[in-house]
Amino acid sequence: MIFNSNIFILFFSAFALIYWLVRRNQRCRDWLILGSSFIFYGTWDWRFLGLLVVTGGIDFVCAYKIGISHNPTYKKRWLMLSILSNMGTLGFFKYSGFFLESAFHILEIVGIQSTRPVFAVILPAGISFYTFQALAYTIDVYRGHIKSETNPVKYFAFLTFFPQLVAGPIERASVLLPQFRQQRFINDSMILRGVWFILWGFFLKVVIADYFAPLVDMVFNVKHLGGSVNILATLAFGGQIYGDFAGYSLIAIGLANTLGFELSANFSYPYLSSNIQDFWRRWHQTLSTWFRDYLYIPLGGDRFGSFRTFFNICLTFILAGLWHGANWTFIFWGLCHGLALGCYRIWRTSKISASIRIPKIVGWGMTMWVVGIGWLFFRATSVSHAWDMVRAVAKDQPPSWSNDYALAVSFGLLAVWFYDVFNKHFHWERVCAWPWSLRVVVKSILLVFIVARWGKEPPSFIYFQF
Amino acid sequence: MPHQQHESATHRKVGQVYLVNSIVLLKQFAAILLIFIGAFLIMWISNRSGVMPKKTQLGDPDSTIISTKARLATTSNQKRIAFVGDSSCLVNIHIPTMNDNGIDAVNLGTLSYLGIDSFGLLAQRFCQNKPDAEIFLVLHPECVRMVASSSDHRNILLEALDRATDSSTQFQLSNLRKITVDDFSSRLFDGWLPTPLKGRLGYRYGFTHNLMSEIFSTGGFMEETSRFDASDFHGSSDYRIARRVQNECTLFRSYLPNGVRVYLLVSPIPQSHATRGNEKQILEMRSEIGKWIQSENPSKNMPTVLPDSSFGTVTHLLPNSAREYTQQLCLMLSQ
Repeated sequence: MIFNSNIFILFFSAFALIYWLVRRNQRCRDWLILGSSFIFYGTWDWRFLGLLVVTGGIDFVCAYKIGISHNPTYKKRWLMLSILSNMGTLGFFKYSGFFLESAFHILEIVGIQSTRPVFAVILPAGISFYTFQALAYTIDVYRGHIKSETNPVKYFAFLTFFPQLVAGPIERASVLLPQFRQQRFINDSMILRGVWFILWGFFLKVVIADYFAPLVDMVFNVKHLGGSVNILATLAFGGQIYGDFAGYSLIAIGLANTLGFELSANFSYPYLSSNIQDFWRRWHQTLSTWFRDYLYIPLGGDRFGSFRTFFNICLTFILAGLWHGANWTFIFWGLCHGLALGCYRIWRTSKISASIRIPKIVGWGMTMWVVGIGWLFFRATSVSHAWDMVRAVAKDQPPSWSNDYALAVSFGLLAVWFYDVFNKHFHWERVCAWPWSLRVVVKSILLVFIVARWGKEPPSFIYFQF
Repeated sequence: MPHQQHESATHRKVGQVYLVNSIVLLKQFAAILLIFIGAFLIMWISNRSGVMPKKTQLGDPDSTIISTKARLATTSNQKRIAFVGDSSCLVNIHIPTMNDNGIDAVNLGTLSYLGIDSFGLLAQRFCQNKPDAEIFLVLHPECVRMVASSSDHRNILLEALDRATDSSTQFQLSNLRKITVDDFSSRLFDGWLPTPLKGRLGYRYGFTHNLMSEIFSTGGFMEETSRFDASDFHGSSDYRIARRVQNECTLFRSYLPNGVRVYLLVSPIPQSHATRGNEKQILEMRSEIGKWIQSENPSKNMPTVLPDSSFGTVTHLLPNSAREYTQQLCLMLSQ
């Protein structure tokens, strides 16, 4: 069940009605959220519900034990168990094939021939998201930032909360769990804001991302296309993934708002960023802060000199790349961003940067260049595919339809730029000050666009594969 | 506050409290719905009134192919020979090779979903004011055994031939989106915003209007871009004539003016796919269908089986093989 499907609209409508009916009873509300989240997740593959319950259950017990214990060694052991459980699950389902494949490849390089075993594991939907959310919970309990939850229903409702279960935002327990402990107050403003976000989310997905999708596929899915179309296809993918993921996040936030819950923002006009650090403050914010708090800072952050900082940044981004998928392309994507951010940090802390002022437009151009190279690796099927595409830009002749392609991509990118500028200048607090009639007109226009592009066989969200 | 549903927030076990002014919310949602319906109404009226640009039918590959062939059938006034049929006709009959051999023909091959009678409509359009026209009906055995044709595809052809009124002007509740927003955006954008072709056609032709112009410039020929892999294909080669075929063939013939000569050509199948029984089945097809369409001289000398390497798919030849096949056809015609 995906957000942009008729079945989800029916599912959520039915859920909202029952949610309203059980409003007087918090326990019923929690059970309803939990049951609905299980149904939502079970529609992908019900067999993985067991995995969700087992890994989530281990985290629940670990956090509980950490919470009641006063012995640091004992606490550490329970934390290690939680980390092992989450990383083991993630490692088995997501990375075992990749590491085995890479190991056999290395053996072949050094001249040891062996028969590669056939090893295929189905990847459970959203595994990277919910394991990170669960892991953050036990670490926060261990650090004493939050108290462990004693009610398993509330805990599982927090972990599997269906608007954000499959593709985030990766919510911190300190933000979301207390909301399950309290009664929620739902007012007009919250519902209207939720609807506003849902409409913009659907607009980003079905109008922008799905517009780019065939344009991206027609270049990335075929070899021997050259010239400018390779660059344009990479830019188009930047638009597609933004529309797709930011759209999902907005729908999730909007749905949660209509239920009285607040989720963290995940995107804040990233394509207007004037430097790479700024970009990472605006792109997939809940993941970047997760890596900052649970990896970069524990590694030492920027406390041990320039070289160590550079190393920490690169390592963090390589692992962030690997988080996306078990492929060298994602590692290169992470490395590309890590190197750029590391270099930017060195530049910013150097004395020259104080005397030389780089115009914003140059900074923006450089940032988009780095981000673009990253997207090339991210979308390519292999590193050699990405490299072939780079070489083909200068080497091969562009196809006869490259001018049409440029026009189609430019039109889409203009829409993305318009969205980011609009989003920057008209965030919800400002929109609230508009006359209600203007808000209604904007919502109606969005609705018309969404209905126009709503497909019978809706394409899935890109981040579901992670 | 009117209609305010303010519940006690003091109870410890309360799930959520709705501090909602129903009037405000209802007013906003009703206004959105009204504007939404109004927008659809405006789009429908605009489509109907003719103030919008004419539909180009370039929204998807099938529409593009069908509407381009309808235009070719209408505009090929100087040509006397036309090939009509399913997609095996579209990709196997290479018109530039025919022209090189001094045969001035047009390829009006479309898609098997249209049905044989619809091929007759295209042939009918081509035969207008051409009493000495010659029509080659090209069918692949896969098309002949197909159980039903698609009314959607037929409607596209009828619209393209201006034989049916533009469906976007007719109010149908079941097709609300198509008659309003789909047609409106198609009229508004298709003229200038390129529509990408999905799948393998996209790699070769890029956008729908490129496909249209290339089909035009090659006299109706379209290139197959895949490569046939026998190990990947698991279809049956038990070719039989579906029930609908006789009726469709009779209709096909009835659309053509008296005096127009009709020939039948059965497209080849891959070697690895062929069985012993095929030869008999194809002979039967030639004889039966030939009888129904009153074919003058069934093309007995054309190959019914070719090596797998000649094929892009089980029904389509690769461009080079299409040239060779057409060359052979030219030889047969000159005899």
